[in-house]
Formats: sequence, C-alpha cells, structure tokens
Amino acid sequence: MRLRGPGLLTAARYLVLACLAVLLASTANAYLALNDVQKRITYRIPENTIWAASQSEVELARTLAKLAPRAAGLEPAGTLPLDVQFDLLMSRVSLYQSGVLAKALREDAVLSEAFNSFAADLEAADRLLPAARAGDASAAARMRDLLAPHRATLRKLTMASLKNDRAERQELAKNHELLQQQLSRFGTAAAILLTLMLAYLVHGERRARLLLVSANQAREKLEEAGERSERQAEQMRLLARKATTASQAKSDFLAMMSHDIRTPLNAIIGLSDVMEKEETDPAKRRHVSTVLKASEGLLALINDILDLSRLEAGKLTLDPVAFSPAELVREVMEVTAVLAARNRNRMSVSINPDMPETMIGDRERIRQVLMNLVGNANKFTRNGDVVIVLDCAGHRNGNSLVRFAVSDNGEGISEMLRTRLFQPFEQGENSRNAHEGSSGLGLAISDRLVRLMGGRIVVDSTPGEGSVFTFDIELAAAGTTDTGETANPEQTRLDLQGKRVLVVDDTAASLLVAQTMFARFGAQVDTAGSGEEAVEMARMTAYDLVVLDVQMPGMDGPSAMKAMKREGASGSAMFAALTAQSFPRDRERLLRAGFDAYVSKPVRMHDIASALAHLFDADAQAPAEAGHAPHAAAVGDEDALDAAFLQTMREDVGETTMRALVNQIETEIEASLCQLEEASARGDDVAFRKAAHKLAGLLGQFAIRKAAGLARALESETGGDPEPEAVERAMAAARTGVRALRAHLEGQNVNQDDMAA
Amino acid sequence: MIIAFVGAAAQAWATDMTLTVTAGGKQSVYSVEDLESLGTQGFETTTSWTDGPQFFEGVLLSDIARAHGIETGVVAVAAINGYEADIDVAEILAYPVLLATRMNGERMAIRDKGPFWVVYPRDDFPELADEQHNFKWVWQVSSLEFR
Repeated sequence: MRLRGPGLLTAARYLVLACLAVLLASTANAYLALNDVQKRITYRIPENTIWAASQSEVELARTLAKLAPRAAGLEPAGTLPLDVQFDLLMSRVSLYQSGVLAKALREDAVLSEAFNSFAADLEAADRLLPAARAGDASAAARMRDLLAPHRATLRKLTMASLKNDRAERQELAKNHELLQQQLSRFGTAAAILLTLMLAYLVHGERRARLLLVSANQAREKLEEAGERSERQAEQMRLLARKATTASQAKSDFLAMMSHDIRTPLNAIIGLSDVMEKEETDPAKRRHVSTVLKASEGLLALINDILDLSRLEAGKLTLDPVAFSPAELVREVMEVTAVLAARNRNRMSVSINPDMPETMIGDRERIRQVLMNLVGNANKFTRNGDVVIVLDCAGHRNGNSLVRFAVSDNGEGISEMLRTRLFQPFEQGENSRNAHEGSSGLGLAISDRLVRLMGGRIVVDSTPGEGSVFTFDIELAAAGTTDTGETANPEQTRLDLQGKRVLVVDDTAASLLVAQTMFARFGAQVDTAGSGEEAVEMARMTAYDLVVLDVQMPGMDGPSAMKAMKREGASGSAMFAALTAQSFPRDRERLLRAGFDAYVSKPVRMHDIASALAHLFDADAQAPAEAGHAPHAAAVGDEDALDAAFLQTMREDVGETTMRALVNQIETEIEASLCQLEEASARGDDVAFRKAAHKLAGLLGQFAIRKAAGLARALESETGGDPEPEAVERAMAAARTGVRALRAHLEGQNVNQDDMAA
Repeated sequence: MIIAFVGAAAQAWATDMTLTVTAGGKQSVYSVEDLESLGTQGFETTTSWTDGPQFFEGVLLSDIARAHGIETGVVAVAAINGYEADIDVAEILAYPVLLATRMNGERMAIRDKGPFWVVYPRDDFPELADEQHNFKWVWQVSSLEFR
C-alpha cells in the first residue's frame, strides 16, 4: 500500500486528537450538567413550597394547641407564650404574601381564594389576641373557632405544593436521565477513541498509520466515486434532456415546415401549371416553366427532408405486406423509363427465377430505395445501360436474403466521394450538380431505409466505368409454404368466406397477425391503424365484421364502435373487441357496451373461431367470448415466453408470417423502447404512457407476459415521474423476451432440421 | 392603618427575645442591643421571601464567631420554632453573612422574621443565590451553637 505522504498522516493524527478532546470536553460538560441537576434535586428541599406549607400547618396546630386550654380557662403548657406562638403563625402566613411563595400562590386561583379567607380570619383572630392573652376564655374560643377550620385550608396548600413538587421532580428526573444517556454516549465514544489511541501507541506508529491512511483512502475513494457517478448521472440527464429537447424542436420545426411551406408551394405549382398551359408568349412561358420546375424541386426537397427527419427520429416504422419483388422491380423499370429515355439509356431487369413469388416486407420503402438508385443511375449515365438485378443472396434466420442491385456504366464515383455519399446534403463533384434537381438527400434516405430493414447499401464503382449499388435484405417468403399446411379442424368452424372484415389496431404487428388470421378464415380484410381512420373507412364500406383494439391512443375501441353504429355503412356490422386486458369484469363491461364478441390478446385462431362462430354460423354453440385461461402447460422459461402459445400461433399464422412478425416485432419493440427511454428522460408523461402502451401491446402479442406486465404497470403509473428502476426493469425484460423469442424460433428450426436430416 | 396599629399593639415585642450563643462549652445571652454593640454592618439584597431588595443591618456572623474565639467548625443556628440549620464557620469567615437585626432601618418583629435573621449577601455574591443557601437564612433565630 502506498502512503499519501506525511502531511495527511499528521492531519489525521491531529484530527483524532481534536476529536478526542472534543469528546472529553463534552463528556465533562455533560457530567457537570448532570451534577447540577443532582444538586438541584438534593438541595431544593428546605426552600420549597411543601416545606413552607407544612410549616404553616405546624404553626397553626401549635397555635390551636395553645388556644384550647385558654378557651377552657386554663393556662397553656410550654415555654412559648401565646402571642409569640401566634406571631410565628403570622410570620409563616406572611410568607405567602410576598416573595416567591406569593407569586406561586397567585398562579392558582382556588388556593389563592382559600388562602385569602384564611388571612382574613387570621386578622380577625389577631384582633382577639390581646384579650385572649390576658386570659379571656371566650376570646380564645372565638380565636380557635376562627382558625380551626383553616387546618383544611393549609392542608390543601400542602397537598397542592406536594403535587407541583412531584411534577417538577419528574421533569428534573427526565433531564437527569437524558443527561446520563448523553454522558454514557460521550463516555463510550471517548473510551473508544482512547482505546484507538492506545492501540496506536501499542501497535506502533507505522501500523496505526497504515490503518488510518487506508481507512481514509477507502473513504476518500468512496466519496470520489460517489461524486463522480453522481456528476456523470447528472450530465447524462442533462445531455438526454438537451438531446430530446433539440430533437423535439427539430420535429416541431419540420412539422411546421411541412404544412406552412407546402401549402403556398402547392398554390405556386398549381397556378404556374395553369399559366404555363395558357401562356401564349414563348418567353413568358419559359419563365413560368422555370418557376414550375423550381417549385417542384423545392417540394421534392421538403418531402425528402421530412422523410429523413422522420427516419432519424425513429418515427418511421416499417409496414410489411405480402408483395412480389419481381413485380416491384418491373414496376420500377417502367416508371423510370422516362428518365432513361431522356439520357438515351437502355433499361433492363435481371430476375433470379428461383426467387419466391410472394414475400413479406415493406414494399413501398423498397420501392422508394430502388426508385432513388435507378433515378441516380439514369441521371449519371448517358447512352448506357441501367440494370436492376433481383437475386437470392442466401438465407438467414430461416428467411431469404434478397439482393437488389442497380448497376450502370455511367461516369462512376471517385473513392473520395464514395465515403461521403450517404451523408445528408452531400452531392458529388460540381459536375454532378450540373445535373438537374437533386436534393442530395435521396441516397441518405435510401441508406437509412435499408438499414431500418436490416441491410446496408454497398457501392462498387470505378470512375469512368460505372457503378453498382447493392443491398441485401431479409424477407420472409409468403404463400408458398402456407399452401401445404393442413387446416386446423377447429378453424373450419368459422367460415368468413365472402365477408368483409375491418381490423383496427394501433400496432402494426397486431394488425398483421389479425389480418393474416382473418384472411385465413377466408375473409377479405382491411386494416386501420386508429379509431378515427376506422370510422372513416367504415363510412365508405359496409363491413360484416369490425374487430377493434380496445385501447388505442386517441379514439379507443368502444368510442369507435359507437361512432360506427351511429353513422355510416357499417352500422349493422358485428363488432368484436380485441383487448390485452383479460379481467372478467372488463369482458362484461365490453359486452355491455355493445360488442358482440370479445377476444383477448395474444390472439389465436382457435380463440377467434370460438368467439365469433356463433355470430356467423347458426349451428355453432360456441360461447360469446373466448379468452384464454393462463396456459398451464407453458413450457420453458416462464419469465420470458409461452412456448405452447407460440406453437399455436405458428400453426395459426404459418411459418412465414411468424418469421415476418418476429422480424417486425423486434424492430417495433426496439423503437418503442427508444421512445420510452426518450419520454422518460424528457419527463413527457403522455408520450411515456403511449410508448409503454405500445410496448405492452407488442409484447402481449407474443405472450411475453412478464415483460408485458411490467410495461403495462408503467403505462398505468399515475402522476409524477416513473421510477427509473421500474423503466429499466421493464426495458430489460422486453429485450430478454425478444431475445428468447428469437432463440425459440431458431431452436424450433434446428429441431425441424434435425428431424429432416 | 387601623389594622396595622392593632396588629402592632397585639404582637409580641421583639426586644423581649434574646439570643443564646454557645461556644467552647460557654453560653452567652444577648439582647438585640447587646448584639448590636458588637458593631453593625449593612448591605442591600433581595431575598426569596420579600418583594424587591431590602436594606439589612446587623452583626456579621464572622464577628460573633471571632468574639467567641471561633475560627473553624460549624455553627448550628436554631429558631424559636425549633428549625435548625448548620453553617460552616469557613463560610461565614469567607462571606459577610449578617445576623440581621434591622430591615430598612427598623427592628424586626417576630412576625417580620425578627428579631434575628441570618441574611446572605446574595446580590453581591451570586454563588450564594441558590436553594442550597436559602435553607441557611434562618429567621427568628434564638440560638447559635458553635461546634
């Protein structure tokens, strides 16, 4: 162990000595105080009210004893004459008429009155004294009669004094006890310090020095660490607050921009379009045409900025649907044909015939990326070839790794430029700027979109020879595997062939599950992401069944149902409530509110069938509601997953949808966790609840119950800041749950592969 | 005034009372005048039994002790009614403790704690102003016994 130097040691030694001195002084002081109290108790007896009162009693008794023989005409015994005795009594009584006793008496009205009557009688007796002394028996008798009743008065005085004295003593005793405690504490501390000092002397300076120094160092280190972590935590909080505030400000600004700039811009574009068509003067038409083009460019730029900011804020979520990649690639080629023609490029597509026809993914976002890449390729290529390639790059997590590539033999990109290519607002050399209207955001947006989908855009380019932009994303194949599955016999009970169903849920994953399930019952399914949207859709289309998530931000399920029943084409539809809360009372409440059926999340096809069969099949005897009892046979890690449920779900929705769902849920849960964290840091209660609600819904979807419960607890947290530990716990549980879900999926796969092999 | 007059007429004369001093096995009896002839001193002090400060005059207990050749021991002070208190001779030698015969220039009747009253100069010496000393303010003193 290293020593901190002699200065510290000396300081420590003085400190201990000073402590010892202070403690000893305190001990001595307490001891003196204690003695003082003791003294007060010991020496106060002769000068207290009891003494004075009892002495008055004594003198009265003695006076009466002298008056009795006089009243009987006899000479009293004893040495003191009657008048001296009476004077003694008078002097006793006068004690109550001045000084401290008079003060004490004045404080008690009852005693004071009694005493005054005694004093008055005493004066009357005093006037009879000369006669009584002279031997007048009747005067002595009258004196006796005046004074005798006051034995009781003085007795009362004594008793009152006694009582006061007792109270006073108790008070003193209490002080005494306190002082004693204090004394023993100080004494003990002093003894300990003395022992330490002795140890210091006995064990040698070095040993004690080491002990002292190491104790000091440990304490200092602890304090330092505590301070440091406190400072860091404070800094983190500050940074988080700053960051979220800044991000919020940016979002607000962009939202304002999107509205306040796009509105006038639409007017400019619309009117210049009209003017361009109507203008006959060629020069003026050229000007108007320029205005029109510039405005359109500006609008595109604003849209790009909004996209980018949404991406950066994590607000953009994927919306996976079943689609054909091959068809998408062909569509992109067709749409960009105009661009290609402008630069006289040849466009072609190359599609691997082994690609599954239908896959699940966010078609619109993939399209956006392809459009951007193909657009760029056409912009920077003249008299060349632009090829869109669709290929299978392998498998991952049981999904296909789909490769999209856009190649051209245009001017190419220099190495220096390539590194900055995906930065927002980065545009290549000046020569590239010469080409028409590019915000410089397209690639940045594409890059972020592809990342959101789990891939990366890779650029391979040789200046002067051309470029290839490639990205691989994981997509689940849809349709092909589903066809081979045998239908669950229970599911046949519900036939929704030819029925129009509207499924409403605020989480995309829930929507996808419900959509898939209802589609497999044969229904034509539409989806809505909010109560408001659903009401709007139900106004236009007559649905046979509307499935509503009960808890949604904004308009909740019951309100949306009421609105639909009040108006619109779906007024006579059946309504099913979808809820994550499975309390019996909740079910009753919802059925009373007008729902025809009740399905609790996480949803299984069997539950939907048994809940809805009676609505669409006259023969069915199924009950009006279906919730599940907790799965008694839940396998594996009870904390994280419900294996039995997951198995049922796989059977219900099919392997491919299941994979797509897990992919999506991972992304959405991560997004919710970010929102939760951000809202928590910002102290935004509303956003916090919203994020917690969404998280609970997502987790509940896959029966990740413990984590869902924790998230729901956060959601229902009322008032004030949620405990950071609770947030931490819920987030950790959510992440564990997702990992377990992924592991479960892979584990199942491995087993299946084993069996196949 | 009338009551005061009647009272004054009725009370026992303080001058009738004497002080017996016992020292070294010898008894001496003093009248108030005899005692005052030893030489009087005076000071003003408050007491626990009067309102406000009073001026007391009388003979220092130390003078009485010296008059009887006493320099150590204890003096037992007794009152007419039998009350007794012991005072260390060392204390009366250290402090000017009076055997007062007058309060505010007047002789004291038995009713006013006379004719002899031990008075401590408690205003001049605050260490004497406590209950420990109060019980030694013997009034209506009838005897001093040096032991």
